[in-house]
Amino acid sequence: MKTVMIPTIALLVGLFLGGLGPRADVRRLAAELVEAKREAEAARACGGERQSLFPVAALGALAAAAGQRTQAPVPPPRFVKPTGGGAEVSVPDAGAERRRRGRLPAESLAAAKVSVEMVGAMQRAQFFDQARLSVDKQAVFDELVKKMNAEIAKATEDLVRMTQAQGSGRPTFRPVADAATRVLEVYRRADDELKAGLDDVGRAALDKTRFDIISQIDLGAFEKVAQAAQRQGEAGGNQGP
Amino acid sequence: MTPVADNGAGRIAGLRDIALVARFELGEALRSRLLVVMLLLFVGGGALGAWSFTALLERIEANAAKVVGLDANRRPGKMVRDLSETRSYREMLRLFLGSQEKADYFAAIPPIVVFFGWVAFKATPWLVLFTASETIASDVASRSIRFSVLRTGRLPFALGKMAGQAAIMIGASGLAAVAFYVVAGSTLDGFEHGKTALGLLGTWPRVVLYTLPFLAWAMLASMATASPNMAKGLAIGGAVILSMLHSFTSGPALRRGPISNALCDFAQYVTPFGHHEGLSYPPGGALAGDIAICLALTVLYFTAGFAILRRRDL
Repeated sequence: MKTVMIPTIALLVGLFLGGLGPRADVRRLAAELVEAKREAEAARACGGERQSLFPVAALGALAAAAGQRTQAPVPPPRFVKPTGGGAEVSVPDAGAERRRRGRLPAESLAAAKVSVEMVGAMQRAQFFDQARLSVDKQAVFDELVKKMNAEIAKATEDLVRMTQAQGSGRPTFRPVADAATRVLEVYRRADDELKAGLDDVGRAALDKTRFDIISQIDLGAFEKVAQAAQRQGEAGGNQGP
Repeated sequence: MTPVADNGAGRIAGLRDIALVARFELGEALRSRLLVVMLLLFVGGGALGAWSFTALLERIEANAAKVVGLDANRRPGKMVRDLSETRSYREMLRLFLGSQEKADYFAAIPPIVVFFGWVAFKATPWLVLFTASETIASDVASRSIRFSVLRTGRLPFALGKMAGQAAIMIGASGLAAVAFYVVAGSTLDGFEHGKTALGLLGTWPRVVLYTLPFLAWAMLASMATASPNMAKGLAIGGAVILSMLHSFTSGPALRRGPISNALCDFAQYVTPFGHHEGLSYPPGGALAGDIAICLALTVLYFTAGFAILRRRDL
């Protein structure tokens, strides 16, 4: 028994002793990561005015961010005591400030994506079920959705590129309107293609399930727009009056 | 049976004795209907788990359909299958698991397999503790062990008992996976037969490996006492203590410095709880370590129990 017991205990002790260093490193790195995340969170919360917007409206938000930045009331620096009041200056904590300002565009987008995709998946499943689409037709449908999302992604990327090319000045509304028109045109084309490819059963299923191809839009395409809107907001807040 | 001699022929005879005791253990389990109870527990548990998963999906899909104004599907599962192919599913998993790599790994597996793994890793050890802890204690209590150890050594006897129980556990957990597959396959819409079967086939041996130290713990309890009830109480009570030890030493409450950290880490090496992490997520890098710990604890618990049995006055 000793010949089995001794190597077994030696293995366990070896694993324990050998893991002491790596485990300490992991703990230290985890603590540093938590600290870095906390600092990044606090830094973002102290940034400029942000918009709470539904991600699909991120296109408009990009242009609106700069406009509202100029209209937003500018808080006095924290070290300046407000005139006309004897009360002490309270320094708002980062969390409260963040709650007051609401979610960042990119965060709103991430939160909306989950629910929108869930609804989209359900509607797709319902439509496939009712339309009794064959595997080939399902593949054609998936290809159509993929193409639509690729074109939308291209339109939003162009918009971001154009606004970035404008520099730090206030973005004009025209590129946003152009991008929105492109997106709507892509949607209309995809919708027409879908309807043209359906038989009577499929069209009946469309009516019955009230399926719309817009439910299949990948909100990830708007990610860059939301990030750009977020950057605009942060830049506005950091620039001050 | 042949007494074990300290040479090659003796070793072969010892192995033959182990196989013989294991065969008698299976026969005894069949005769005493323990096998029937175990199969009912495992297969019933597997079927119940799959049915619960289906019922849960049905409820979620019905509620979600109500919210968005759609008719619920006739059979549940379609929405989850479609959803599992979206990026949002990965993001949800990432939120739950706290790691992108883990989310990517689990997103590639059918959700039913993930659920089976979770249930099996949590429930199988307790079922084994419940069913295997009496095996030697009942022989000691009835004194029938005296007849067995006249014809073979105590070690082949104990090893044979454990091998028999392991065979029952391996078969029963495999049947539980089959029951899970059949029930889920007949009730879920869009069930992926091939992918699910492969997933279950891959999960099953890992569950067996994780359950081995618990089986050895049940054997320890069985060899340490002469009463079946006491053995069962010791096995389950001891496992509860081990699970508490794992919980307390995993959290930050007791970790207040380098020494307490080291002690807490050491405690993790004497309990099998928590060592399914590497087994359920092989790319995480803890697979080899968890396999080694599970096997080492199996040997450790068994030899600790045998040290008591060897000295016991039968």
